[in-house]
Amino acid sequence: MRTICIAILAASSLSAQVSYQRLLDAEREPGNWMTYSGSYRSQRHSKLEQINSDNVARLQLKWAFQMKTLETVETTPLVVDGIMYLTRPPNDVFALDAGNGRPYWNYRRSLPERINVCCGQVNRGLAMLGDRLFMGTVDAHLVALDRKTGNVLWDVVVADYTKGYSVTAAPLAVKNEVIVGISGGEYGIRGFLDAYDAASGKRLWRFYTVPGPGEPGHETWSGESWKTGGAPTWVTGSFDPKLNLIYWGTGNAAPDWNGEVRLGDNLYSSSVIALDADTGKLKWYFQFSPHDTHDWDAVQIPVLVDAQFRGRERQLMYWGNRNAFFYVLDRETGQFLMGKSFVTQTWAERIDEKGRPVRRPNSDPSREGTLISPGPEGGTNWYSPSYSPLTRLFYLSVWDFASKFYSGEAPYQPGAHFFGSVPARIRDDPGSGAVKAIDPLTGEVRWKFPLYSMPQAGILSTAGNLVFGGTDEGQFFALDAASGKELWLANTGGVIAAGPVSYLSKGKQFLSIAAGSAIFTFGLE
Amino acid sequence: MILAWVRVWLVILLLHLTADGIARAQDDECAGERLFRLHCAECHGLDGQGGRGPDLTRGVFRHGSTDQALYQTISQGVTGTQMPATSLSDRQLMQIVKHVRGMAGSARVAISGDAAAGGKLFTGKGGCAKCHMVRGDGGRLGPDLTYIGSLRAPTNLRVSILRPDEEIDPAYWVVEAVDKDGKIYSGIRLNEDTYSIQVLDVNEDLHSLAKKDLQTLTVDKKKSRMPAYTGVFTAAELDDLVAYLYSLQRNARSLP
Repeated sequence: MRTICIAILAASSLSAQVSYQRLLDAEREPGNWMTYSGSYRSQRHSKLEQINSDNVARLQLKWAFQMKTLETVETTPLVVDGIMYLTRPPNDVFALDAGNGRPYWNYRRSLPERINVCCGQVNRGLAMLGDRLFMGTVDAHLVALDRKTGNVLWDVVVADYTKGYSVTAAPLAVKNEVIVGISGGEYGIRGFLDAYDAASGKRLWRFYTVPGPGEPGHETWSGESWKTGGAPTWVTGSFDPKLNLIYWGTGNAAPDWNGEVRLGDNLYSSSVIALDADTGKLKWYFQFSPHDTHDWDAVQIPVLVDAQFRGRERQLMYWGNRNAFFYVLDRETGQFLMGKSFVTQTWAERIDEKGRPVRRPNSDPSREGTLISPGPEGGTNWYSPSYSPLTRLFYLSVWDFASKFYSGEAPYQPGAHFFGSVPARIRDDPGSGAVKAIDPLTGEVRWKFPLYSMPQAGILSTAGNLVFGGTDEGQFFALDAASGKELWLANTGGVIAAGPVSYLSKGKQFLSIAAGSAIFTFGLE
Repeated sequence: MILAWVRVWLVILLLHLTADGIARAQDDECAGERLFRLHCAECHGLDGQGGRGPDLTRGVFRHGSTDQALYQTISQGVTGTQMPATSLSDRQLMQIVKHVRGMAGSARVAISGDAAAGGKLFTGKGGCAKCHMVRGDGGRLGPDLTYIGSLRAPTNLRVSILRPDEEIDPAYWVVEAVDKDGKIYSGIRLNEDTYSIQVLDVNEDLHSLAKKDLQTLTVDKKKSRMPAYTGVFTAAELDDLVAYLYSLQRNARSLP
């Protein structure tokens, strides 16, 4: 008996806490996947190379974990020291043996009957710090769980879910803080980004993405429109420890398709905001789509890269935006450096030298309908891109299509949809999708892997010269990172609307992806 | 639950029995349409013909077709789908229910024409049964018309006969594929993705074709396999045929 106890102690001591230092050095631990995007730089790149372009054809299913849910699974699992932590929508959590998919524990959350979410009761994942896991919930709470038991350590209210607020994004743990974005742009919420004390759950700061009276930017909202201005923060951002800045994308202004009731640029909607990590104070912002009327949220992942740009070593931010443009910004200052379209777009003549789009006339929604590319779901959407420091390419799931945008009235009612009409797809011209590899220094598309329908899958690049992506029909594939040639394919049979991750279990590399209502994990035989 | 239904019926009664009932009914119709556009059209389409959400014009609803069931569905949402719960008032919910009922074409209209004679044209002169099935008899290359009278209004049926290209269901897009051996597959496109396409060919055989094995693949989304019947029927015959199709009703008692 004693020997067994010692063996168990030894095994459990292998798994250490996730200290802030480990999160800072996440890229030095490629065997673990410790944040939503893999590291604070959010490159969603794995340095593992056991699985590579030479042997990927032999990749096979190792285990699957059935979720028993009817909601879309958008989760990115975390994997730390051989244990996978993942969410099942709406807001259940599982801890699994990352080597065989067998559960250690689960947490099941009871939710109120009426939840106001625009697009399904989804959840994109967890954050981890110390021995704690953090999850935002569709009833707009933030919950801290013990990573070894799933016990609730604290549970705090972020906002009033009956007014349309919810949390669907994975939080981001930085220092002693848990940064949480809010969802609910389609319900006329007033967006914000919050930081909570990881130990107590106490709110440390809140930054409103729609400035109130007396604050700079308030003048960019006509009348009382700021009160229902939207600009939610529904996808996880990034962090630069040297600059001490948190970068986070913001959603479109509300109501989506009627800009007449909210004249002005509508700051800080459809923007990236750079906030001081300790105070939540705004350091800079860059607005991709001023006064957006097309539902083009800018909640994409801020991908942080240090590289030479036009002859100068710079701290850069790459951004594949829903408005169909790929941007390069200086992440120290927010200065615009480049903007180039990566799919068909018919709304902007060009991007000017300050980064502001020069709109084509008559590109706004109208009563009779205005045909514009891209459609409301955008040239890309919330799905994670990937940057490979080896190929120096930026990989992105894209959509190429048009829609007719209509404008209409938008009476506000708390907790009810706040759209201002609705766009219509073109029935016999549904468009198509692709994975594209963009040279971030020029904006040129280096290669394109065409897809029949429009993908919702995130991308993972690896040091094995591979790029992993997926389709709406459930195909999970590996491409040659340099050429885009398909090297491996598996059919999971369910929609892929999540990002892939890679990790080590007992020294062996695995790849996991949520598809349909399950997690599939692949490895070499 | 019972209390909730009583409340729904009280709302319905109020809508119909108040002194200014008629004016309010008209107001409700407009309000229903407005509310539908605001809250439902993003997924169900402006005219209810579907998009991210199901087509609502067919008059049959998976989660129940009674007023109470529709009220319940709109108010509570549907678990496991993208259909959310709403915070609209009872009155607003009933206005939407009424509008959805209208879109479904559940109101019957009187038409001229002899349905029995139309039935003969359907299988005879028109040759419609070659491609359309009615209660198990007929072909498979066009939509099954067993309940078409519950799904479509007479004017819509008339247009479909005379100008079938005006509205083609994507499930009937015309496909022609040629494989590496030169074998041709012509038919309708049942399904498609990046890697393969599923076809019902003109002989009503099913094929699943890998795209990498095809020389050419064309999908015609604009031209229906169905010929336009302009000039084929006399005006009286056309009335008969429409009357026949309109008579193909789903029995209310057999609703799922």
